[in-house]
Formats: sequence, structure tokens, C-alpha cells
Amino acid sequence: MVKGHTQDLDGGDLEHGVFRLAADEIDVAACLAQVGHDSCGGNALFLGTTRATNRGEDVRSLDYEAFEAMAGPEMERIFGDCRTAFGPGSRDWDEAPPAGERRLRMLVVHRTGTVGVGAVSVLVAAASPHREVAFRACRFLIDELKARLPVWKKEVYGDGHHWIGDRS
Amino acid sequence: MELEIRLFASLRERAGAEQLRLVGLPAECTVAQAKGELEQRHPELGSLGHVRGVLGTRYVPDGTVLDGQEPLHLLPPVSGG
Repeated sequence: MVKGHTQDLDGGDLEHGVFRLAADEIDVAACLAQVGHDSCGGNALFLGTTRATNRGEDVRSLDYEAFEAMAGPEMERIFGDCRTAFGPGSRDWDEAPPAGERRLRMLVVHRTGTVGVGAVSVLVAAASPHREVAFRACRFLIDELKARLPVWKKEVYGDGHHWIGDRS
Repeated sequence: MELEIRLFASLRERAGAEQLRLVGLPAECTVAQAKGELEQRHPELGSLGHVRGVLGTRYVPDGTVLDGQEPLHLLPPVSGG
């Protein structure tokens, strides 16, 4: 069967960008299948996984908290910035493929709640006819997400916890 | 002016509450002024210089004037990923 649909299972439009907060384990294979398309020969995937040690401490698990009402709208803005930078209507950059071949499909899933060591906490997938747009979009999305998405990570140790990024 | 403050992550833990109410603020108080008042009245929160304000679902600059009609969300540095 030819995959020609642009609507994902949640009713979202992957060419606009689809974002989900997930309370349960992220199914990586299903996400890759979702973002893929017969028109896209380049599929870039970034997975963030939880480390066993950080700052010299043994990490038991990580707890992710999201400002859920804002996370969706902020990710929408990040998707928009990504489309503007690399999508079909973007300005040319060095070695950019022709505008007609800058089709871009984007999927981002971020965990909430407790995530065990080694598990996937964030998935960013981008698909495009060629690899250049897919690579650039994937990198852009994870970098912007880490700077802007209202999500916080708490590392839990045997004897306490620490909010990552907390400067007070 | 009264202002409802909503807190997240480390700030919520320090306050021991998801929301606080600031009363007696001057009219046309800015985000920066509200943060300054909060630092004085709730020293347990620590410095709020790195904390970003959100109205609705958008980040707003510290110079934004508040009208007290909607809550000010205060977000510590995000750390998703």
C-alpha cells in the first residue's frame, strides 16, 4: 500500500508538525513508521535517553514535569520556526535542495513522569525527500526544544533529588 | 493590584505550593517588579533573575506590564530532553 496520508493517527498533520507528551514508554519503531512517507528518502531520528550517572551521582530515575497547557503551543511555534528555516517555503542556504524537494514531516514525543535509566525520554524525527533537510530539521527541533519547551527534569538519587538547570 | 502567581518544578517545591497571591502591588506592575516583590516576600524561592514569565501560553519579556487579570506563570530554566 502506498503511504500517501499526511494525517497521523492522532489526527495531526505531520507536515505541520505533530507533538505528543507521553506518560508511557515511547514506541520508537511506530514513531519512525508514522513520520515516514513514500516521498521521503531521508529520515533523521534523535533519541534522548537517561544516563546512569550525572554530576558524579548515581541516577536511579528521572522525573519529567511539563507545563502541559503551554507545551503544545510552544512546540507549535518551534515547528513553525523549523518550517520557515528548512521547509518548502524557506530561504535558500548553501547546498539546499530545490524548494520543491524540501518537503518536511516532523514528529516529536516527550515523556512525562518517571523514566528509568536507559529509557527514551524524548524522540525527534524528521523526514524529507533528501537527507540534508531531515538532518537540519532534526537538529533544529531538539536544540529549540531544549531551550524553550516548558519541561523540567528531576534526577532522583538514592539520597535525594536535583532539578536539572536549577540555579537558585 | 493583586496578582496570582503559578509556579513549576523547583520553584513549586521551594514554595510548597503551586500558586501564590501577591497583594498590594502597584498598578502597571511589570513582570520584573512582580519577581522582585516575590523575592522579598518569599525568600525561600531564592533569586528569580533567571526565571522566565509566561502569560497564557507565551513567554513574555520582564518589562511586560501586568494587569492582574490573568495569572503570571513563573518558569525556572527548562531542562527537557
